[in-house]
Amino acid sequence: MNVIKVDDEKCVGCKTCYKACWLDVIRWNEETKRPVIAYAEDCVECNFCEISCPTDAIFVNVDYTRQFPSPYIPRVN
Amino acid sequence: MATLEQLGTVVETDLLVVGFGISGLAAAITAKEENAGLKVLAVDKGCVGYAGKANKGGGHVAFIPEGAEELYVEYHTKNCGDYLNDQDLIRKYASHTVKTMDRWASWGVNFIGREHAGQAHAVIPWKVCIVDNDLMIPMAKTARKLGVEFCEKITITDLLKEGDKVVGAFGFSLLTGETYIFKAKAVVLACGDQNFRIMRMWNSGRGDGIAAAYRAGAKMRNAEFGSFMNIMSAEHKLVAYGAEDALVNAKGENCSERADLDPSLKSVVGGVDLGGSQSVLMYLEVRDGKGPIFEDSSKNGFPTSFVGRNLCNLTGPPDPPFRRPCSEKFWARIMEKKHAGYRNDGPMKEVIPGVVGEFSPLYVDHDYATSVTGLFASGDICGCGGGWAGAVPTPPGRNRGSGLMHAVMTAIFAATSAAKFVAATPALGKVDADQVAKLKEETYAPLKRMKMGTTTHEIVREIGEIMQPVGYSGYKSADRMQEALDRVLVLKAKLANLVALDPHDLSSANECRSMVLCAEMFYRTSMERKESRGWHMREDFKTRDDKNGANWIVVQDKGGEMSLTLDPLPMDRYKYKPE
Repeated sequence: MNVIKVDDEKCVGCKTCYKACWLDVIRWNEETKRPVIAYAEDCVECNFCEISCPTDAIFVNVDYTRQFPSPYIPRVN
Repeated sequence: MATLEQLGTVVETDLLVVGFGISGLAAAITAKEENAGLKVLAVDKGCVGYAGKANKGGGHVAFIPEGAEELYVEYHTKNCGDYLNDQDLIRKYASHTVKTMDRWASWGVNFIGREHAGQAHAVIPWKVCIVDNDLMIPMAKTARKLGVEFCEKITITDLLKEGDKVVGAFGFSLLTGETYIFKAKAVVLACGDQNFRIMRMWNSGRGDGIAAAYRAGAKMRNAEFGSFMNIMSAEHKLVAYGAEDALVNAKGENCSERADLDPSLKSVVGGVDLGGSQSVLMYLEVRDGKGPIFEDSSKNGFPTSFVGRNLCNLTGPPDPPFRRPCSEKFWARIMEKKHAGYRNDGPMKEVIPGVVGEFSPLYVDHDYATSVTGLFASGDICGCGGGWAGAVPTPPGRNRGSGLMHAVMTAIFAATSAAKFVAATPALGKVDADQVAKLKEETYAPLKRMKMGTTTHEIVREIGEIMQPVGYSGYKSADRMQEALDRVLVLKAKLANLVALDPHDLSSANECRSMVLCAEMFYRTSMERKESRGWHMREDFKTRDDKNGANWIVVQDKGGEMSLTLDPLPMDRYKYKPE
């Protein structure tokens, strides 16, 4: 699965990455004012968290090896 | 018996908009503009300004210049809709693109290149200009200024009815799991179509709205056309733009064309309009032992073309008139990661077809009302169900730039109708606490099961194996579709044993239920259409059957069974008829 890294030093706690994530991958810790990567397995590397972050504090490492369904011929279990 | 307040948080509004991606935002704004006194509430699983998929695309906006409308109607009917489109409604569409842009611009959206819009089509005057990918931010500001209220991180799973009329919606918070009961005089469903979670960038369309409407008794049509495919890289799993013109098989032979492909498939699903026959071509090559298929990237002219350079920014900054700060950042990041995902620097890149789906069968009439009183729809959810596009997946005809236009235009239609309906409805309907209690029990059941049941990830994986193979969903045959349907029905039985670990997973469980329902609808209607027409390509019925095929296949829930009926097209009064 993708690995989403947050640099807590660079992060300014603006919550934009949380808002930008349309798939509920990123949650928000109201106490620490920092993002929580809650459901990385659902990340689709749209990178909207990255491009919306004003301080480049978040980065999505893409897993290129993930499984894809059989493209042409049905795979019967 | 528990009261509504004991069952969840009760929220009252005049108009409920489900989904605030671009179509939901446009619907909410329109409703307030039509009637400022209405209380308008929009709900989504995401956050305001970022929800849905409109901000992850190319930002193309296509329009038909004044005076060219009828040329477009004729061309689309003959070449894209394949005579299955509602010719009255497509005429309405053609005459509203420019008006839509004018109204849309007043919401703070800047159309770049509108005055000197590019020619997006070889034959018809289909013009395309662009918007920046952060276009929903100014739209959200406009909505808030007009008094639209928002509820974030809430999924709507079902509609609430009083008799035959929709009087609200049922859902829960992704964050806390808390139940929400929305009471409304009317509901607009603008929560996207079904993409089956296969192609990752089209991942938000999970069909919850389609399933909720179906369970509420709404009619569906054109469900057999919801298997749109794009060509994607086998290595990084992103779209390989322009690859369709540079395909090479494992023997080094050009396979962008294939002589033995039935002429009807060639003419109906040609590259310029739909770009769909390539998935069939690729499938036949692989079936004949000539796979895998590669893109010869040295022969792909798309990245350096006008469109590639200025609209998708695939090869660096675009020309000055087309600069878009957000889009450029978005596409640059996509491209960086795409290149990082290639296994080597050579020009030959393995490509495979990827199912985007765009399954969108919710029926609407010409005013974007569904068949259920009080329920309206806009955007992708009713792309095929609206009927004007015909035998092609949404957005209409897959012509680039029609998705955003369709989302906003239909939102204006739906919200205008809904606002009138609300104004004529004196009071909120009665929400039945028994119905809510029953829904709550069913919806939350996966949370209460032991962890030994079927997981949402197992369902998602198997749905992919059922909807992706071209042999099942792209190049259809009765035997293979029966096999696929049998697999869907196995999954359907497993839903009774679905487990969810938390509210996020519970939302996935509801999406799984929706995906299985949509897959069943897709294969049942596909088997019923015994011909090839538009995007519906059958190996066992290779040609269009004008005598028996000029019907819309209508699907409806009848006592728990999926009922299919045929609704003949009013071909006698349509201007364009099959020759």
